[in-house]
Amino acid sequence: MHGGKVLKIFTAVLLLVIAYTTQTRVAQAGSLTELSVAISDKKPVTSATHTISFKIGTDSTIKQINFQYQKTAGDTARPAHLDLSNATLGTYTGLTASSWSINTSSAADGLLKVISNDGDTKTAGDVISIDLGSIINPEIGECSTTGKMYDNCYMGITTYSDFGTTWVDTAATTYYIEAEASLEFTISSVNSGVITNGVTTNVTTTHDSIAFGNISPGQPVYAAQKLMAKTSAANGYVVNMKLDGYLQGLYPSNKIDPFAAVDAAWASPQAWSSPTGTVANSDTGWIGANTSDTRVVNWQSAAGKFGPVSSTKHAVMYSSGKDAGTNIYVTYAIEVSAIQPTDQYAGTILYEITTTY
Amino acid sequence: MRKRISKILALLLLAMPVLAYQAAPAKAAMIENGKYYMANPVASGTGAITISGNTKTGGTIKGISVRYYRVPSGSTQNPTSVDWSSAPASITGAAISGINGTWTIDKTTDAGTDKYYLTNAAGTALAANAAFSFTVSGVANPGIGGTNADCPASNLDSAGNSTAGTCFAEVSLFTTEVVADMQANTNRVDYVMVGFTVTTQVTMTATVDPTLQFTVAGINSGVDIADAGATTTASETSTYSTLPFSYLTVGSPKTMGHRLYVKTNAQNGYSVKVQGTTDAADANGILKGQYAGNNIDGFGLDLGSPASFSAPAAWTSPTATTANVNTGYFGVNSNDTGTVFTGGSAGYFAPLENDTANEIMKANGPELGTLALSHIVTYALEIDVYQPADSYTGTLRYTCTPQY
Repeated sequence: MHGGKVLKIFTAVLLLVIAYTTQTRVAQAGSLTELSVAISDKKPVTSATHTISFKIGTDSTIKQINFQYQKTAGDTARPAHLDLSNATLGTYTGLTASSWSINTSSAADGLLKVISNDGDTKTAGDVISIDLGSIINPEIGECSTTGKMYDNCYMGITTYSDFGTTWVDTAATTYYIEAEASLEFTISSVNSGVITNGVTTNVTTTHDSIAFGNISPGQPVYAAQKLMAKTSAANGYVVNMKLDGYLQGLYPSNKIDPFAAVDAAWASPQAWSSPTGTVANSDTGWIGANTSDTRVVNWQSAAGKFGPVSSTKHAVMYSSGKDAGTNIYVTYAIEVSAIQPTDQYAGTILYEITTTY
Repeated sequence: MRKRISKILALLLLAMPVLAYQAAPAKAAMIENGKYYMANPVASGTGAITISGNTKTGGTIKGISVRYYRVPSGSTQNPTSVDWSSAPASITGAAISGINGTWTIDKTTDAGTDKYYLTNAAGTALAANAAFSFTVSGVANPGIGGTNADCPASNLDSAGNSTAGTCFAEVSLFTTEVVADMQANTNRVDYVMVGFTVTTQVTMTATVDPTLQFTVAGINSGVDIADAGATTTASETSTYSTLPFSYLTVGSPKTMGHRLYVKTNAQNGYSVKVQGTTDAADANGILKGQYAGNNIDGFGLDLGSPASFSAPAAWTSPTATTANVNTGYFGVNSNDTGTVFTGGSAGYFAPLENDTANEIMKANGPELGTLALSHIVTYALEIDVYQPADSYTGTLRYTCTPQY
């Protein structure tokens, strides 16, 4: 046969092989098949047993099996929190030699080796299952997925007929870790005399009451509550605050209005100023609030400023992702003018936290 | 040659380290952006809940389950105070988004373990990453506490108070509407465990103390007090505590006034009254002389239609001829048209009365006590030729009564 024709045939076959192996991912000689990785505890940064099983692709004597933990396919970098240094060889099936042991010398590189001096003679189609214990899982976001409650990490598995030089079969697969949903939220008291976001409180609150006490015209009174939020929600949370209706007197017509200084809105907090109404119960008393959470839009630099407190809910805490625990202050201000009718006013503040996992 | 080519090809194939990627077996995947929203987040409160998210896998979804837990793992204990019994029998329309049709709610089969099912036999074909949501009204929230009824306190504050409690809901999507299959998690496509927190209400209170400020101010001579019909300007200068009419000329009335301010937050306003307190020998004597028996009476008591505080009259000069009996008049007017001095009586005068307080200023609600809201009370004094020469004095008293 002419040499040029041979070259063409060779090239065509070579291209066909490349196309075949990359597009169809079909098992063939040299490949492990039916890989799976089961994690005893899928939580991130948690000690777990990884049960890895696979089917042999090639008849051979196996003396070493490498487990290469990867961030993504082909990326051999070890996920930062993945800790293989204390990995143990647990129960295994499909391997009959008694001398199998684990080598963690390359744990820092994300590589575990299971080795047997005697080796095991295997036949294509044989199933092997190995428990690798005391493995610390990666953290969510260290592998191939970010901003989710889960992550898909990769693992390459290679069998050797010797001690790491002559590979027999290889393949890669993924394993899945999943963050456990968690959420903590606390409302706490704040004493009088505490400086919260540029404001000094005048009264002490409790976790379920904000008692301004007796207020005199023209003298604002400040009170605060501390909020704490902690969550694993990958897409964070928002804490909203609202007043259920009005601050209303025993006479139903008596009310204290939301802070309504010029340009004051939750989206544009303003310095506190005295109520300006000239008709009783119409802006003759004001109730406003401030949040120290600079993550809330429009509150990045709002020390000493206030927005209206009303039946419209407003964000007082916000996180775009999981939160290891953040404390903030919501500070309330109240002031009445000389014609705010004398009365005992009361209302209900509601906080709601909504997480997005 | 062919054998040589075959060998070359075989060697090439063996030399290529084929790392075939083996995808993990398909299984239920996690719903993304999972959210459990309560319209009423108050512990033990009742309201609508909205569950939303994005599918991960997708499929023709025919069943949805919502199962409640006190903790996300390690225990299957449900918060027994969660209650869907008042939820509707089905939801559709505005209560759903991303899914179609009418979804029947099974709120009884596994109510004991707080697992509820929504089913629709036709199903909705959802692609991967498809947004969906549904709202169920009338759901009773769990309370906060350490018993199986409630959500565990998510964190105690520094004083040991349980201010909020967190529970969890596992939401699952199925390609089956058969409840038995959903009970066994058969044909589950996607799922998510979401946390939600019920909170305590915070009571806000404030007491606005009653305020009252009553001010009497003098009016300078020459100041316009035009509403008074006797003269249009003050004849002399008054102070807050004196009305010094000085010397009187027969037949020439003199007027003086006080400007009154009231600043109060009294719910129902106030009433200002004035009364004479002079202990003249004559009961009608508002001013008494140094000599006993000399007095100047209240205005117009001897008119054909006698003036009274309920019926003021236009100022007229005294014309009596018996000394000390209506030979001198002392009258009062107010420019507060909320009193008897209104309408046709706005510029009229009434007799000041001893021991009877009569209203000269009022309001029905709180007032700021500004100049614009103040009122002038005008006093007029005139004598005829029969009024004995003397130095006359008298006292009057204002009373301001707020009505809370």
